[in-house]
Amino acid sequence: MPDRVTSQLDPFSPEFRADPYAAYEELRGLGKVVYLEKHDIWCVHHYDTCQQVLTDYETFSNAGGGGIKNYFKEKPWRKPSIILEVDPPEHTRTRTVLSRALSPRVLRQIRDRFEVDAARMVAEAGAKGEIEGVSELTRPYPLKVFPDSVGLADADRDNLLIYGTMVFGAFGPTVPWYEEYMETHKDVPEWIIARCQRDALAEGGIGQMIYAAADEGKITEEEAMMLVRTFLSAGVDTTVDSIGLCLRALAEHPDQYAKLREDPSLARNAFEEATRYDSSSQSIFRTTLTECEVAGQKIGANEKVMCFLGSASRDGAHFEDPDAFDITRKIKGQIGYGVGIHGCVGQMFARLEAECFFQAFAQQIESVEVTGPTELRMHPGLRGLTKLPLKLTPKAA
Amino acid sequence: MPKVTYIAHDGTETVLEVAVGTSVMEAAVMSNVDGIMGECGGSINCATCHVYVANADSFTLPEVGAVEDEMLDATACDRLPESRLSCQLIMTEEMDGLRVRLPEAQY
Ligand code: HEM
Ligand code: FES
Repeated sequence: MPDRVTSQLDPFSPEFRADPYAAYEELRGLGKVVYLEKHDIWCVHHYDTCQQVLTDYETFSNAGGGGIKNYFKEKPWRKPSIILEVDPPEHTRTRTVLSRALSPRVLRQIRDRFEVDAARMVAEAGAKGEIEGVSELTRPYPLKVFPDSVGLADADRDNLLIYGTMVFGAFGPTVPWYEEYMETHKDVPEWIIARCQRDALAEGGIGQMIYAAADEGKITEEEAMMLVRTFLSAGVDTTVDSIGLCLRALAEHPDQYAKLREDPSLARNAFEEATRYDSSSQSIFRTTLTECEVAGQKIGANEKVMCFLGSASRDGAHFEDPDAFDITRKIKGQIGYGVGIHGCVGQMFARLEAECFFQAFAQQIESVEVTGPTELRMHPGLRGLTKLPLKLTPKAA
Repeated sequence: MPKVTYIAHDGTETVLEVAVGTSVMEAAVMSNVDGIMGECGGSINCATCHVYVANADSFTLPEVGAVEDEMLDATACDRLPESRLSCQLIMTEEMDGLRVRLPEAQY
């Protein structure tokens, strides 16, 4: 056998997904680069090697596909993303359009609206007291503020979640439920495309800003539609899942929640820590363009490399006491949004959305408890909760 | 070690020794200088490391890259001719004495 460290761990198995952090520890113990025999892919799972792979786009390409499928070897299931699944120079063109539409400058104008929506939704949840946190709070909030900002009409927004499952489900190996799901919801992609047309998007929203770039000739009309669609797939489930996991972490660490309640201005940092500690994007893929070497391991050309961001975030060589959830931690070098040229273009949006949410929560809620078993959703691509039973005690008025 | 002076929006000055090869953003974040966030860790994804270089004429700073240029157009506080993303200012011996003013807000 070739000299390489191998493992039988399967990152898409229910056991791995139920407790990825134990599996990450095992992987980090095995070595810097491990070959996962179940799927014939390489993986990296330390902070330094993830950084190395993600910042070297000339070796580690995105054109081979954002998921486990290797577009260099098999045909993509749908047209590749024109931002996530391309390399420079194509990437730079689409990326700059989105960077502008999601910049601090634009976000400053959105903030007030987020604050109002967050305060109202937290108040409603607080008044109920006992809630199922995902369906009654951490899902409705992003599903309101995100499409509102893009300029999407109100009706049938649950379709966005279905579409998200379609997109993120495709990151893993083909499984029977996925085929069935695609069949059951085969009308949804059409619905999405119709909502992403110029005429369907409200004036003043981010969607129209992207079409403005088409007017300036930076992208085509068709590309504008595709970028709006990318927004809708990349921006909803990710924030739903990350806000949900952050709320669970706070509820499970009452000492940390007490700090936030005493000083709601810690909200942004609390979410930053949750993005490191337990977040929606656990892993991303690259495909090698040439033979290369990572930490002394030779990797051939056209090979898939899985980068475990969730493991890099728990690497003791970079983060002190990595398994502790500490909302006052000063994070140097966040990797939870990826890094390098494909690093999340929506990260400032995500931070703002979450900051407003947790600030409103801390201002209104005295204590939060998990009252029953929480459940994870098991489809590949993202980590998130489907169930989070909570008891909220509002502050005395 | 070369020194960089960070001038907060209220005028307070902080002088840091910055190792060659470290970015002006990283040095500030590591020493908890308020006013530079560097939330994306230097990937030119966030624009929260915006600074105004006060004495740019005294140095040959690296050119503003294409992506940096785009991001500078969208910072929370206005872009000025001396605007830079401090994660792109990698320290050299020649940059000793650099002075950067911090904007009022980064997001
Ligand atoms: C907490 C929420 C979020 C997390 C954890 C997250 C995570 C990530 C990660 C890890 C990547 C890198 C993918 C790669 O390098 O292969 C990424 C890219 C991306 N994200 Fe996010 N994301 C979040 C929210 C958002 C939002 C709100 C939007 C849209 C407004 C968004 C849009 C994108 C896009 C378009 C890309 C592709 C960028 C490129 O390829 O240049 N994300 N995200
Ligand atoms: S640190 Fe994010 S752009 Fe400089």
